[in-house]
Amino acid sequence: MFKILINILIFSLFFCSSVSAKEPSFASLIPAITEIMYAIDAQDMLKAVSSTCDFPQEAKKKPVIGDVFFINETLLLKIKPEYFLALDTSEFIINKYKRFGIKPVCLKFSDVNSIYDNILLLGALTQKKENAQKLVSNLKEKITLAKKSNKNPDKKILYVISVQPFRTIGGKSFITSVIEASGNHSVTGNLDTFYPVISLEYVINQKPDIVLVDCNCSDDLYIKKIFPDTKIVKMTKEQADIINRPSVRVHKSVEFFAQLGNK
Amino acid sequence: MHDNKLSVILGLNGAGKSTLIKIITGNIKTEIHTKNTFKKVFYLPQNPYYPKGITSFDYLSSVFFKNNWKWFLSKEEKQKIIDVLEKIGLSDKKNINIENLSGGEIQKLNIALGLLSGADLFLLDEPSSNMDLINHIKILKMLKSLTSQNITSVIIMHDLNLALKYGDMFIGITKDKKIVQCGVKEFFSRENLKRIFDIDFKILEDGNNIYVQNID
Amino acid sequence: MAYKKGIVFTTLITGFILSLFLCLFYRLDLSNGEIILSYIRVPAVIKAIISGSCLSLAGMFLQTISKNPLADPYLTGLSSGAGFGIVISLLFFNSVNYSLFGFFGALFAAALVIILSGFSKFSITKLILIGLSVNLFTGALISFLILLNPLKSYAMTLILTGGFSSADVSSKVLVSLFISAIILCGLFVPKLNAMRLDNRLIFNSGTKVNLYNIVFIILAAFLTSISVYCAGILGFAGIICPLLTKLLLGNDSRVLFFANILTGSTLLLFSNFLAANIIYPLEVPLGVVVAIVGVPFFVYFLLKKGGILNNQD
Repeated sequence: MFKILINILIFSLFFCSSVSAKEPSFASLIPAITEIMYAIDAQDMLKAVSSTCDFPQEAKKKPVIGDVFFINETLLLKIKPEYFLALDTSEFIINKYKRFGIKPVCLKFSDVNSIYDNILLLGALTQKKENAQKLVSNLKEKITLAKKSNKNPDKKILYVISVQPFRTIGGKSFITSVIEASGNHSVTGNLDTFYPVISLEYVINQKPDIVLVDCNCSDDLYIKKIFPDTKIVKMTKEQADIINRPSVRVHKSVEFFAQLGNK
Repeated sequence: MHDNKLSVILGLNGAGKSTLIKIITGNIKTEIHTKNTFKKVFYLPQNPYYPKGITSFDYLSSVFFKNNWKWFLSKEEKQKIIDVLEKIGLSDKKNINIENLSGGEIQKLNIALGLLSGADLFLLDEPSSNMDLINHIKILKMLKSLTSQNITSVIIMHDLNLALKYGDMFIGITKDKKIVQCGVKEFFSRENLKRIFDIDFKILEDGNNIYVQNID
Repeated sequence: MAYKKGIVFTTLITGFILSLFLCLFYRLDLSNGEIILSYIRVPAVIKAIISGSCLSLAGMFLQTISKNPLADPYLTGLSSGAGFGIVISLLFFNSVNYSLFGFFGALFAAALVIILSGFSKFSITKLILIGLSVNLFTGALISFLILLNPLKSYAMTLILTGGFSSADVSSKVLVSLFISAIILCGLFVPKLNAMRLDNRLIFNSGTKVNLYNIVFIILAAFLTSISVYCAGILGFAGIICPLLTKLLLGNDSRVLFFANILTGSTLLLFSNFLAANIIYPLEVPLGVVVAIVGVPFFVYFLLKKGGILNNQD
């Protein structure tokens, strides 16, 4: 009796591992990760995406398991991916699916280099190492090119997320590192936080050259009042998406920041 | 109500004494039409709330802010307050915060509120419910002396002997919710007290004074 | 007497002027001085003074008429009404006028609560309970709306904690609203001296007590809505300022009127100064600072002179 049980156990273990060896399955909770999965040609292994994943277009056709705040657990357990991809900030949310055999993979995007690391990591998980390496070297090249296109480097950029209350990016945000990669500087890059609520006076006294306003921010008039002599650039939704996602389109983001001083 | 008299309402708990007073004040509307011959009514509830952190002078001045649109008291009003404090014998405690006064003194202030409001009908719901005998007597004496100034008082109380001593008219509520209103002699008869309180009383007469005592 | 009135008022006025100067001129970079003063500091100072005095006056009215030291300006469903208005405006009208929405949301909620509690016989206990129910009901709706919109949830939570960051509020409208409210209060404040007596006391023939109760509740709701308009939902200031002034100055509403205006605005000015400078250049939410500044003060005076606040002996 006992032997039979052990046999069944060994058999099932073997079965499981053989299945996973064939082709691992993934669920992604973050649009940036979905983009990377598509870029390394691992989209077939991606069995489910979040409701915010909208690039590339085909990603929208995948089953949606909710977002960071609400996860459709029935659907998730039905799909039962082997790996659950998310950011390190939502680790506590996805850790609870460990007991269903769904392994949490929490990626940390702190700067441009971490994007390369994460692409390589995903490449290893999906057994598409070559694709990943090719993608990384490609990206590095494009970013160097983008940086070279910056004719007036060392501009001070203020990135405004919202005005009421006044929020901007801090040094820990990966956007700061993107701005640095483009040859410019973020005026709030020296602050040791992510997305702080900050004193307006401080940023006025920093005298930024360019004020970059997020597309969701609707107080353009007020910004014009407090920065009367500064160039104000309002992002479009598409630009904001590219900038806010630490993914394979980061070279476009670097290009955008590099071009800011040129116009 | 008899004008310029001290009427006492007596009855068991739950007989409806407070309700009777509320009907008189008009707080409870009934089908009985009350004919009111009095100018103003002053009603003092049982254990009234009083604000802390003000002096007895300020407490009395509250009355004058009710119906006037003004920021300061006039000289006459201030004088009135001082006079009333004199009358109730608290003029030396004019500037003392009321939370430092005794219960009897606060009750005197409450009655002074009625005096200042210019009411001529005082309705008092157990004004001496948790007071010692001396304060109890002082307050009743004060109300009695007010009757000479055209002020009618109606008091709910429980002490029969004190009621006897100071009351002019008596209103009893019997167990079958009938109201009996009569003078001393009539009210303090054995039959009447039996109807109201449902126990037997012994009535002692000593010259003009009458005393009652319950019989076990 | 609790303390000498002269000493208390001198301290209050000094504190007020000090915090006013701190708010206006501390760490002012002269090269950008004009912009900073006219677009950031002066509006913030105006908002702090107005919301502080409105909140503490409203708290004083409600505490006096309900005879309950726990009554706060948001009692009549105002906070959740305001919050609901703000959330709606952020979600469906893209945030430009969220303060105005908060203002009308607060007024609407207050009107609803007052009308509901006045349906049969009006009483303050009923008002408090209906206000509580409206607060709970609308609070649930707010949480639901916030959860449905995770992208904006952080911004909404930040705005709901209150602060002077709203940029669209016109100082002219605010000041004229405030002045009219203060004049109205000036008319009614002496009446509070009569209202501080037991509600059941009847004198001067007729029972106008409830009428005045309703007048004061409406005034308090109006004042609180103004403060919502300039600072969002700032809890706490409306409870401690009236209690503090009562501890210091006794119970004369004419004195308390001025004391509350001073204390309320000083508390918010000083909190505003700290919020902007305590971990400069980052900003701390104003509501947090108000609590951190106010509570120790308040507890100190409560321990020292708390006897005045007891209802029972």
